[in-house]
Amino acid sequence: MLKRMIYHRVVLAGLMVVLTCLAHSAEPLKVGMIAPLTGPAAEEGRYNVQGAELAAEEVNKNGWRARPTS
Amino acid sequence: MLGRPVELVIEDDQTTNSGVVLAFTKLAGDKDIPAFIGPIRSTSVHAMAPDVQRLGKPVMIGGTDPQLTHMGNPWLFRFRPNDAYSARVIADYGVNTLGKKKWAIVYSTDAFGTSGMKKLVEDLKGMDVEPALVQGYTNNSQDFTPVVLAVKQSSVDVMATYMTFGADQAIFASEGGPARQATLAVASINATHLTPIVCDPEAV
Repeated sequence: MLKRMIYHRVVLAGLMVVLTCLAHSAEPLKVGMIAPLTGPAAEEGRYNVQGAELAAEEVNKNGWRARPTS
Repeated sequence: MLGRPVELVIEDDQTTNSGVVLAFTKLAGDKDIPAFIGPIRSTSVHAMAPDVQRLGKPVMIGGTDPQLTHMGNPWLFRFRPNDAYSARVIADYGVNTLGKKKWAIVYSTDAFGTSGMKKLVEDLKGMDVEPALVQGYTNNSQDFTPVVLAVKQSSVDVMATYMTFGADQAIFASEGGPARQATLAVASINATHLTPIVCDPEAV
């Protein structure tokens, strides 16, 4: 009986760890970005941001894929 | 990524070094940010480098000054060719492919332009070419006529530029265009932006 109780508690604890990890995994992975959005380099800054947003969109849609260079 | 969606947290550096430091300080305060995409301008990266080292988190940089990744800061990672590479390519293309021997170099006097200019002068000297004109200018110049005239008067047959801002390059190109008196007709090889107006069509 005691063994069964310990077993259930261990399984429950494990399940809680997994659920906690799953909940955590849904949180976004933040990447800080510094870009010139105003001032003389604002035009280049806009391109920088658009490129980063495009990359983030692709990663979020298709996942990270290592690809061979040609 | 790692089963989590990527979210960009973007801060404006206002195209100033103090703005870069402020923006990085703000982002560094967010403990949930493990890595950063940094500025593409060398002068900006130099300004924030001490704070990056103190924080100890990776920062991807576009700054092309070779020194940036050789000054003992292990947290700066460059994602584009540095000026040593671009200078070598520019010198090789101008001398060996275009066959040009009389050079003018126009450069911004900031970290990017100065570093690029020095590397290009060095590489050209290694090819037995002494530039006829090495002309600096300050970022955000509103009038490039003196620079255009200097290039014109030096009678060079090729011009290389290290210009930081696209707006400066556009003004420079228009000063050298057919609508202005100081028309340039010289092959132009540029480290950053295109200047189709001043390019010799044969060299494009």
